[in-house]
Amino acid sequence: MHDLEQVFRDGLAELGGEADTAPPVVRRVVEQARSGAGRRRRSALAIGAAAAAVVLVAGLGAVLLGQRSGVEGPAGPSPTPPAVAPSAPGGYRLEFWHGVAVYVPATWGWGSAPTDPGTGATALCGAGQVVQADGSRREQRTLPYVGRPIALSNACDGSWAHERPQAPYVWLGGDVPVGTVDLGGGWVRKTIAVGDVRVSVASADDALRQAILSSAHEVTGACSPRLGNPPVAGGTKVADFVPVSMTVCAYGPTGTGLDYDLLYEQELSMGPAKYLVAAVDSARPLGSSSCYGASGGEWALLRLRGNPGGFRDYVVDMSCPSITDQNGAQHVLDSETARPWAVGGINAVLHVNQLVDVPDRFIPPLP
Amino acid sequence: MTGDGFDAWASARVPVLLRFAYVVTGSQAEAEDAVQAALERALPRWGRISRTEDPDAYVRRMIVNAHISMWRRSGRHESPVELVILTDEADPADRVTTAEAVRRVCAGLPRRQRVAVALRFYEDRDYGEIASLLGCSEATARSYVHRALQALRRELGEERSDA
Repeated sequence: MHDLEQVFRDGLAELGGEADTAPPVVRRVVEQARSGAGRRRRSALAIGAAAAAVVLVAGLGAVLLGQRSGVEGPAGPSPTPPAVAPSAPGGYRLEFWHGVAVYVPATWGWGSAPTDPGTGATALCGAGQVVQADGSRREQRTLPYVGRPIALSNACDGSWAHERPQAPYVWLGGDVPVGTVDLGGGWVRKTIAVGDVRVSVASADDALRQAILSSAHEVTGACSPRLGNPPVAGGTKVADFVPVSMTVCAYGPTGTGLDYDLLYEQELSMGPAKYLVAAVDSARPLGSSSCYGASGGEWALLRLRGNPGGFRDYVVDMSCPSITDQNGAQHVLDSETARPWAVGGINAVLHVNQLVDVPDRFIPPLP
Repeated sequence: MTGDGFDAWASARVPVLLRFAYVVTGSQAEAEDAVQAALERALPRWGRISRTEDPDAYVRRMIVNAHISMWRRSGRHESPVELVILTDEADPADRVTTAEAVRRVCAGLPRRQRVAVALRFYEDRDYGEIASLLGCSEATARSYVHRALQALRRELGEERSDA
């Protein structure tokens, strides 16, 4: 064994010595880190035109999205408030997953649900990590949440099936058998099938569990459940377009990397929609540093509906990162152009860019 | 932003970090991307990082996280590193070196395993640190390294039998 370890040490030392660390390379890396430009393109070129493109961790300056509530308007300069977005019965909000909608308490956060992370076994990846209703992330098992089958962490736990929770949860689309499981201490998890989607609710409160489960229903959502290609910007080009609502459709690559799954869908009101139009209109164009093609990463389609009847689609490429307007022009994705739509559970499903991520999520806070 | 000695630190340490990233990723392009991503994250908080005892450790951690995150987000479980193709195994003159065996084993490892191997044998990290970086148990970290060693043993064994 010792010899093998030494073989590894020697071989890796030789491998490390092959890296090009010439001064021009070092300068380029440092300079591009300052500008945030060019990273994805370089890798994409190196890897080639493989459909399963690598998603790179973009990283502009850390910007916290400081909404007070996950589904309210932006925290910045005063959007028009009003309420044309679908409203939910008092104290509840509507959550979507792959053609199924369910009402959940509006104060619950977002988290994960059991899925196969690629190991062949169902696991809960990121149990206890919850994006709170204000969009911030906490590791707190006592917070109730709505989980989707998306890994929030590389720490995957296979013991979820009979684990008694410390807070109620809803799992949408989890890889969970239909039926009822007694989790002890009065806690029960019940799983039903709505179409092809499993909906599980764990609670010690029978009435709450039943209320949530009975609200689950099939819907034809505003977002396509799967895309063969990244979304395309378009829609009305009229200068005085006034949106009255916005649908956020967040997509991530499937396991094959050949297409894109709908991860999250959210309706927002006129305020955020108007704010976004203004922000995009004044956003800095990417110009020569525009991304040359579609990444295999995460995308958001932002559909704004106007009055009467017109619409406009903006497309966010999280890997670039950029936001493309109705004319096909790419703009810088910055805090202004992210703030209006990157709210609520977005932080639980899109990970590539810090603009919609809480800094230090993967890295412990510095002392 | 040039304050707090970032430029001086970067000039001195980026070559080392590039070599580490190259071992972790197996590709020059990905290594540059990972280091660039780490620097981008480090820049806004450089004032705090520079006051820590070991700024390198934080940036290394960011590199590892970036690499693992690529894996997690892309759903790809294989490294994009090209395999080294043996030319004529029957000819002793072309017998692969042990270094080539290491390269080939690494190319076939899942990303997390490869990171574990790089941290263990390139960085000399202990298993507790590796587990912390990978977000897994120490036993899992040991298992990653153990499996990589087994793969290397098989690789070298096959070569011996081929020669």
